[in-house]
Amino acid sequence: MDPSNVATDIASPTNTPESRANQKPPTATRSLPGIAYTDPVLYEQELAEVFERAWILVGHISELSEPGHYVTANVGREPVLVVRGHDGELRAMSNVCRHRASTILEGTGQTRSVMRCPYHAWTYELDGHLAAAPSGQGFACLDRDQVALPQFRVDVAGGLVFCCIDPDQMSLAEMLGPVGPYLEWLNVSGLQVHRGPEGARWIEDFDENWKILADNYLEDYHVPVAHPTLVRLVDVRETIGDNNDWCEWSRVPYRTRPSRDPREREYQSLIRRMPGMPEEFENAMGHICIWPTTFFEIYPHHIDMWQLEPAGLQRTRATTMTLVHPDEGEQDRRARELMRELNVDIMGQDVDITTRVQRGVQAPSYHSGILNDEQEFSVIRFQTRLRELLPRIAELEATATGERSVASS
Amino acid sequence: MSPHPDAWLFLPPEVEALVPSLLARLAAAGGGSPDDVERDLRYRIETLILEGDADQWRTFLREATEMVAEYGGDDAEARTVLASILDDQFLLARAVVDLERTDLDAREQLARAGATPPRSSRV
Repeated sequence: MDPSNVATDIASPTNTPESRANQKPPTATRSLPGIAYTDPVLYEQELAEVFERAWILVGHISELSEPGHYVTANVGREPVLVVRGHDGELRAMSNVCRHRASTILEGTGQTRSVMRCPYHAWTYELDGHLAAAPSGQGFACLDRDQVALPQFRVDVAGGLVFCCIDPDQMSLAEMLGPVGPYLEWLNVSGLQVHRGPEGARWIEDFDENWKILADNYLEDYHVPVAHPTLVRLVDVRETIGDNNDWCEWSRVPYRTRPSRDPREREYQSLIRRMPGMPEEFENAMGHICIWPTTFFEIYPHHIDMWQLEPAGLQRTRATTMTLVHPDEGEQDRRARELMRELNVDIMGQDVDITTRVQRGVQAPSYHSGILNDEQEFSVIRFQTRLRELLPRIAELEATATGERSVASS
Repeated sequence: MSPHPDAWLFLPPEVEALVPSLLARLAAAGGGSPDDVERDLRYRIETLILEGDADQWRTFLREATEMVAEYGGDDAEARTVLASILDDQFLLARAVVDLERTDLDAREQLARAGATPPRSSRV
């Protein structure tokens, strides 16, 4: 994309209150069948065809500034690491030792000049080649020149580092579409990862299928019902945004008048743009959704990144990273902490909902539901991609019995 | 179990998004300034969201219903859509408040103004 066009594209989003009113399809759009959230065959397909083919966020460029700096993540079933080499190059590779399959590095940090497996101390160069293995004379045939950690694709967009283990997948820029320039515009690369008491990543596990959590994050139809705080803080009818088939951004203005809730009112009084944040965020917050399960909450004073990872058929791991300005002031810190408190409440409300949904999708009487073409637009887009990638869904839809709660629809 | 005091807040977003401009269209027929009406309504709805409660919301719905019921102009589309949206509000509000006689009267007024099921409420 021509950088000179970025401002124009961002200033003229395709998703506006006016355009949303004219985008309704002629027939009802149905959600995925309930059995798609409990089917073990589909779950295996999802790991292979969704997560192991996607560009997965692994970290922020500020975490990889020096040789030996590394981040780790899971790309589907593949543990990966990204490390800055002695030559300055970023490399992504398998985080699985070629000997007995232990993961080599955990979390984020800085390794020494090599990477050592904690199990039997097989030791790898930062470019992934095996440097040495203890008791090397005991192996009948170990050609260390032939042993290396498999290399994967790594790319950076707006300061965010992504890894893809599928050599045939589209480029990161193509997948991000309008979100790539948007990340640049937000100055994400100029921020740094906040390290709280829990470290650089905050991890929570949920007892629901990953798609239930993703579906919930992707739509704002439930927001007025479940989240009164958000009704008072933002004016969702003024939401604007842009998207391609895979990714989207949106922005929504804060209300300018004070909430009657003391905590919300204090938060409102603290809202202020951090340096480098575009003036459009003077009194607005935003969201970014990156295929398949990376979600950003963009506040004027900081950015939260929330990533879902399947950890079982009915188990999902959520990893949160917070980006702050390197010179975050006291007011921004207080605004961030207050928003975290509000978000803990909001997350609790979402957990209550998604727990109910996990029970409900298993009901024999439930097949699928009708989606709202405006306010569940992103769920429709998301589930359309899943149907394209996962032939098992069509099999499940063909075999699922019709719903019994609605006589005809 | 009583609903949470904030539970009624699921009601206003659709009204906030659609009703001010539609009521402004009705006001134009009476010689009022549509822009002034829309601005005043937006302010009032936002005030209710920020400071109000379920009973105050219901009072607003009744007043909006009166405007629809008394409308004698030619903008039948605006009147019908408004009636449908407001009628939905009364139907949904039953989850958090008990409807009173005046609410039921309001629903009858909305039915006479052309309120139809949600399928027809698209604008």
